[in-house]
Amino acid sequence: MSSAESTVCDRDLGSIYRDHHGWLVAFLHRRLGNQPDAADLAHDAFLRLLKRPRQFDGFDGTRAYLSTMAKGLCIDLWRRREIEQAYLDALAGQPEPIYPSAEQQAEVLQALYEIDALLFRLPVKAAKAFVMAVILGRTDKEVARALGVSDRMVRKYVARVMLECVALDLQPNT
Amino acid sequence: MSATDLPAAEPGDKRIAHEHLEAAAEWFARLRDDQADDKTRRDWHDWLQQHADHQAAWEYVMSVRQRFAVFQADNQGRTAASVLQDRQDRRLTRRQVLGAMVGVAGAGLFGWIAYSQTSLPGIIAAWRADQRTATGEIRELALGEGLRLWLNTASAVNTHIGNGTHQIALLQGEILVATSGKPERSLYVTTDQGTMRPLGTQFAVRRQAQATLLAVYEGAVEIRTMETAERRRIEAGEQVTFTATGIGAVETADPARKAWARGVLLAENITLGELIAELARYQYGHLGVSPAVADLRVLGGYPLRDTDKTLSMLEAVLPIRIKRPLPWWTTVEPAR
Repeated sequence: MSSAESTVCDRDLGSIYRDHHGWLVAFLHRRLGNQPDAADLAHDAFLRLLKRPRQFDGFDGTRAYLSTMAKGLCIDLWRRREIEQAYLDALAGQPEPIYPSAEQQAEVLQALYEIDALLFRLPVKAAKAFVMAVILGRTDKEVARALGVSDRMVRKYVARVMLECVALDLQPNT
Repeated sequence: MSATDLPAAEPGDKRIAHEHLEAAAEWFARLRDDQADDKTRRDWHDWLQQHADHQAAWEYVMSVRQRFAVFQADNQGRTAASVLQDRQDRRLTRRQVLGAMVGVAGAGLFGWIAYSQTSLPGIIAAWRADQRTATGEIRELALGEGLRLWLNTASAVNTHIGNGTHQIALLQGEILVATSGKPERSLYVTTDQGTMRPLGTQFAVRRQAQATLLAVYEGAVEIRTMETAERRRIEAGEQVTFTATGIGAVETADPARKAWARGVLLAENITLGELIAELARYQYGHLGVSPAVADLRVLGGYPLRDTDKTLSMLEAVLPIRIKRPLPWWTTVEPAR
């Protein structure tokens, strides 16, 4: 690749696409082991660039950025698959199997992805206290006993995670 | 997060100070399990009355709380909740093993508090929308040139008048747009999923998680999807859902999608569960329905601005009772 071409790709998303899309799909294909997922994630990567245009430091800089983004997208995809599988297993494991509609499933899964991502960024005890208290609706005493902490600590955890959720909720869509 | 990410202060900008949000989250933690004594509840009520910002902060906490209702709504929600719990349980086990092996103390609350502070500029940025309605509020705006706009509950738009064009960006929620006469500027309504160009018209646009719902009542609207630039003309009486990459099948326009502008929740033979889900958009806090009565059919028009009245109207005609153990906790259950 000549330096003239890498200068063009600094400016224009179209040329970034021409120069890197094929490489990105191949890169994702190697990591994911299948073509459709690779094509989807490459599409997502360019969508992000489209939403948030940025300057790149030449051809190599563009590739470095794209490969970092691609790795992040893979991890996110794996996490989503893991959650989806756990959810489907749990549904199947009910005494009376539940068959939610595709729409209901999508809604519940989206809520799961979001709250799960948030909880994994927080200290584990706080995350756990929040799930038991707010998601499962247990009393402070029940949560305190299960976690071996005081009632007061449970309330502190719940308040902190709630504040975190509020802060995240108030951010504009990204 | 650098200082340049902070939006400049603007007059009339609505902001909620971090301390109010923090206080609201603490009140939530004290009240949420329904074990608080009367004094705590009175103190909470006093705090709520002290300042409009306290109420706004509380409303935010309640709207976030509402997001978790899906995990309690029914069996599949509770199954999903058990997945969340399992994942945190496994994390705890991993961490305990790791802690025992290398003697690592917990990362602790401090790093966490620092994190929560850094995300606050985002809170401020979200308040920059030109026009915004609170939960439960429905507002009509006259934008001139025969253009009228209604904002449904918890909605936000940016409006921009440019050279020969008038743009409305729907950031959140739902709008109803009516144009009359011959406007001087071409109107465009945009969402993340695409652009809608009305051709002399009345239409409603609602944002969903990853899609936009368009219902046309008069005239026609042309859609152009954000990514694939697919175009389609939607005629009066039709509605359609589209994403950034495609346009779904055309359906009959739902009259309920414009009745809200008159403050009416229109139920045309829908289930009680669907009606309550719609009503919940207009009320702070939790509004849930027991699966035992969720499938009852409902018919008629109900006041949207007064959800309490709607609930008592429903209670009068259906075999249900309304339970409200806390001001922000309402459930609809079978009558005994």
